Amino acid sequence: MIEVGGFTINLFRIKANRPSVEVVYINLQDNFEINSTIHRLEHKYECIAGPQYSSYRGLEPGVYFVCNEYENLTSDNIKYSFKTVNSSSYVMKYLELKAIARKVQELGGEGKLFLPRNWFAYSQITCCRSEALEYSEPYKLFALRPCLVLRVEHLLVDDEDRLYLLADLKFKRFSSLTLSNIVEILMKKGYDIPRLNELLQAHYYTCIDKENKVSCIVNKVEDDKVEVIIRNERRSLSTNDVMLNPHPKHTRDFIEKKLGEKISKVEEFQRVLGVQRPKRKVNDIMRYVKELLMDNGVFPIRLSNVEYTLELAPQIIVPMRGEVR
Amino acid sequence: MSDPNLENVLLLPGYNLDIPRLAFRGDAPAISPYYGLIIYGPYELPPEPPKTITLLYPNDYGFREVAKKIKEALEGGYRGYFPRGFKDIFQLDVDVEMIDVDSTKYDMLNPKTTAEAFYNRLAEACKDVNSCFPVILMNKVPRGLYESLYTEVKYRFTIEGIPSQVATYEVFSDESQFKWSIFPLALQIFIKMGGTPFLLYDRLNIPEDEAIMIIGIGLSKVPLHAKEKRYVGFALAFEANGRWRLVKWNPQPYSKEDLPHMLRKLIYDVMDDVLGKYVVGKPKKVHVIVHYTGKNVSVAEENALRDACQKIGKVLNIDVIPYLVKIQESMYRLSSEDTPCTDRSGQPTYLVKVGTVIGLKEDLYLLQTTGCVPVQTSTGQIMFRPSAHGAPSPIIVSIKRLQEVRYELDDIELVKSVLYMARMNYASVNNPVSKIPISVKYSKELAYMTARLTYRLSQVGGNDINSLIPEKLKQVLWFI
Repeated sequence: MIEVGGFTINLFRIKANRPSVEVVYINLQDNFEINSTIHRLEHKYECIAGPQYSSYRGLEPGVYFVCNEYENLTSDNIKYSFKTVNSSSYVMKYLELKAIARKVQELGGEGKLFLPRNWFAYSQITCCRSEALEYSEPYKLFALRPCLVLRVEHLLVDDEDRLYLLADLKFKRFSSLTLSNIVEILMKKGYDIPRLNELLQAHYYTCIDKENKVSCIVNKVEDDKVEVIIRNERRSLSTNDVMLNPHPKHTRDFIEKKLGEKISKVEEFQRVLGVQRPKRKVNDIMRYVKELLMDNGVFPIRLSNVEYTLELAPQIIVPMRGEVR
Repeated sequence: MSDPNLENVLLLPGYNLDIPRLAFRGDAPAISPYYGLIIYGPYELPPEPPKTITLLYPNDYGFREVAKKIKEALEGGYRGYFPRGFKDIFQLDVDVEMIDVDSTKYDMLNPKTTAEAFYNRLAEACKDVNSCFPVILMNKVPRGLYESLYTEVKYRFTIEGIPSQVATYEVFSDESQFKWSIFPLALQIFIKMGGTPFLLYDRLNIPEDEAIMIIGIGLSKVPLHAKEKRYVGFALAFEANGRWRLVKWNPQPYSKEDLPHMLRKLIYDVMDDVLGKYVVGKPKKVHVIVHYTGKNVSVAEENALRDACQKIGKVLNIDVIPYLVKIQESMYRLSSEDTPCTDRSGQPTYLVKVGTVIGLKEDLYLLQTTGCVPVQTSTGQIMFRPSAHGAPSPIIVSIKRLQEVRYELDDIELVKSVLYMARMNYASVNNPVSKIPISVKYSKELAYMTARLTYRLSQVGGNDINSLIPEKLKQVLWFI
């Protein structure tokens, strides 16, 4: 047993069972071409692809990828070559992340994980436990869930390429405050349409407009449609695509007093969990990495001829110089 | 920390940067804004302060009571949280008055009309609007709301050349928040009046005959009518002592190809103004450190930045060296067994000391700006205390290498530039370091204001947003 000063960090080592991995490579120099090729490979051919924008540690610029089969690429006249690269090299962080994303998506489809809107964006994955820690009562309009936010990072340690899973934990409150749910509750409470419209007008909403979330104002509800104002323009949307913003002061009054939903218990739970100090935070991250990823079989993960395993121990940084300036 | 598996140990470069001291009245140094302001007073008074702080509030019971409480606290102080009041701390002879606004004209969902009502009431109540400093009491608006009452009010007053301060009803009606918010409110009023509460006492390490300029840049994509879009770049310039000098905008059509040209012009104009107007004497060399956040800067944009520096250097016959530093929030969490910070119950917090730097990889550093921080008590004693709830994340500071530029300041000096700018925390007197440096902290607020100004420009014609900001506001940090 030794004592080491330093910092514990929420990085978990991803280890490959072989030093090199067989991938497929397309030589490209232009960033735009690299990105569009990756898009095509992933959407048309269901491959997993990563960019290398400039030469780095023996990797030439271009696209590195793996697919289930390569016949379609050949028949579509895509020029590629097979390559063997370091299984923990920089470009592999992208392939590893996308491989994790595929497994997470499958688990989301099976209901084993809860995936929020935009769960995979900006090189990070967000996945949550499907069972909520707490629901608001009586309508379960709010659910509190532990969610992991994941990235894959590449570090050079003593000139050795290494991959790490960077995992963070957030306790997120999900609301199902769609206008359709709200209208249903208010109708059951006996509000007529004019009074219902009056109640609904005085709040901020988020509208899903062409898959984008935008702030909007509700004008009037008619059956399952609602007239909204988005940036001074009137639009008609489904009541499922309009969400009440749960934060501002008057909305809270509305949720608690008009709808009768009790949210303070969920909020308090979220507040307490959100102020965990670093040691407990890192421990909890490790606990949920085990529960959501390991126990659900996300790891080990196979890419081409290599199997990657996750070491369930946070890294400890020992500062080398500890200089004071 | 015991029994670690050596497999899980990372040996990485680590540094512990000292928190720079702040300078107050008479150039007196102190660690905490609270202590420095109470003991020494502000560094510099506004050249032409208004005579009155005018509290504008919607005329209903709740708002009136909160306005009364704010007025009393500004006049007479608020226990140990804001001792002695505005006049005494900031050494300005100003009165505080309350002016109500017809509550039927207050509508959060109708920002334009409401902002107009606030402005008209100020114009009615003050014979000379320049002699009144408006503090507007309003409800909280959701963060990130593009067309909000907050943005509209700020815009309405700014366009008239009047800096303003918003006080949020939800914050000031809650006692537990009021006590911590009243001194920062007073601080922001003082700054927007044109005062300088403090500057940096300690400086980055350069020879005496050289100068440093820190420029924070932001880029905003602004939607106009008929689906027209514009890119608008904005830049804030600070001197090495943290003194803010100016903000400039440069709009361009929405075209990525035009971005380098826009950045080149923006940086050139900012440096031309700062070097021409404010730098005393002719430095042998100027180090221009550009802080940015958000979008990645392309190679063409990096080259534009370098070219702007070289061009201004040639024109002014000064050696100008540009540096590019990207600042991002991170999702890393660091835990330290060796921390001087404990919770109220005396339990260890495991918080990392502010100023800790970890070199994660080449040119990429983690900088802890929130965590365990030294503060000065009212007796001047220095102690460590947590500056954040929970487990705060460090920020990521990436040093971007510019082609054909030899950096003379080393990486740690550039990381220090970020910590030093984070020290210019004008939003709090109790937290001596802001999570994000002032050079990029207000990017979002400026982006929203930019959208309003660009829209106005498209209506009134012309192509210079800078001309829309009244001259008298140009020396005031009106956007914080």
